[in-house]
Amino acid sequence: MEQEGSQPAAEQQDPAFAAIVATVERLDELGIWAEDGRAVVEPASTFSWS
Amino acid sequence: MPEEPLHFQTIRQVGERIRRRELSPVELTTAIIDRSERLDGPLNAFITITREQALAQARSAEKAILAGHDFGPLHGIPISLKDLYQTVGVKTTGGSKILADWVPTTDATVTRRLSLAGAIVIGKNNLHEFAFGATNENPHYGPSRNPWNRERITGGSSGGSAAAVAAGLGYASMGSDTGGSIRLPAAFCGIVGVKPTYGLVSRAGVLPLSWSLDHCGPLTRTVEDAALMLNAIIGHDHADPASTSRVTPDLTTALDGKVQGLRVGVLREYLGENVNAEVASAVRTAARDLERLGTRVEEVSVPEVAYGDGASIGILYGEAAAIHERWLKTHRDQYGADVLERLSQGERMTATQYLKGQRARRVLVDRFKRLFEQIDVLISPTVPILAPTIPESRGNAARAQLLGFTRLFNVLGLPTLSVPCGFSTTGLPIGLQVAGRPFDDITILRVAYAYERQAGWHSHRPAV
Repeated sequence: MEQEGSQPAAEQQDPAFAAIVATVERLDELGIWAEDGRAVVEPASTFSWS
Repeated sequence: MPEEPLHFQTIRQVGERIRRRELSPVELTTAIIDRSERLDGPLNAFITITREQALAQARSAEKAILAGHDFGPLHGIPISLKDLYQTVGVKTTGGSKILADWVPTTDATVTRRLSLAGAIVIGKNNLHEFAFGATNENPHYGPSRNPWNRERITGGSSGGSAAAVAAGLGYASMGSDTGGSIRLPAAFCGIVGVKPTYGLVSRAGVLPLSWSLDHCGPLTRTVEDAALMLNAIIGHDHADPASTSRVTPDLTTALDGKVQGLRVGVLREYLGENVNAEVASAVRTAARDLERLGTRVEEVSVPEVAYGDGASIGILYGEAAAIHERWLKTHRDQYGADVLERLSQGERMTATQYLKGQRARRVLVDRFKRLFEQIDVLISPTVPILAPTIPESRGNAARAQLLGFTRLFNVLGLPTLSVPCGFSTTGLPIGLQVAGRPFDDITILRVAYAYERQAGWHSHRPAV
């Protein structure tokens, strides 16, 4: 059961937010997961070209 | 050819006259402020015009010149700053109600460096509230209006900066760019806007929107003027954690170097059916102009650019909500409706979605590293559409398109600029976007400079 205030509930009530979340979730198609579900790309959390 | 009026001349031109003592910084600053006060009403390019402070700066600049000191090409040149840049003693609103009366006690690093270079700050430019939007329709200070057609948006979020420079209300303005906020208004207002490589220009003292996507850069009427501005502000700054410690080059010395043999990629995905026909035609003509200049132009395809929006949104919304976390608790009712909507969406994004954006960023960076082994610069339209009217810009369709071709390059951190490449039949400017390798800002400037001189679009002026 979803907790009150969780994202799926918010998405149902807000189509604009649902569209944004869908755009982000589509990033799964970029090969960041292996077929067996392993996360194979680390985040560029310290992004810099320096 | 008749000489340009003083207010439309370039930094190079007026700077040389100042150094020859044919033009006084005080006279020049007075003339530009008078013009700004006379013409800004309908354009709404400024939130604050700093007549007294500017004239004091101009008197100092003049005194230094008369004493034989030369601070360089910006000495005595009137410019403005997007109202995100901290300025000692001058309010810095961020285009918001929350900071409507904030008067900083320290300058942004860029403000300080421009001042040391002798530039005169004549005012603070209107912007989309907290830089979080692309239309520049500001609920607190009113919309900035496009000098080419006042019914149309300037684009944002550095819209006041672009309107001011295009209208001859100053020789340059400093903007910020998190998803296209320098390049988009530059394109819509028919001027040059440069987003340098991430890390090249300090963001310290500039109100942040997204730590890992924010870039600071100039808006000017010519490519050379942009390079002159960048020369004054680039270089390491310990106050900005992203600031590069690389030795930074003089960006003007190689500006007129040869472009023959450079490999220019035309991005197929940004010239499809989703692009306005006049915009596409102007960009294809620009590609042919570049070919005539001796570059090798080829079409390239990067299907992964379709994920630029997702990566940008995943990162931007989370970082923006984090930056505004405190005010969202204490001043929530003081945000404009559209910015509050975006920040609220950011509050609801999950940590895994944010990290998905950062993971996608790594994939996209790797893809573009490979692309730039094949080419030296990449070109595309800056914006797929012409500047919409203010009511049209409120629609979801226009809003989605405004940053559609620019935000990817914030995710990538690559140097990217917009240079004028034509006009629609209705007289609206069109921008050519040029992107390059990290820290190869000089090459995009060199290509844009050669193109600008060949095409000549920079000499067109709006009737203001």
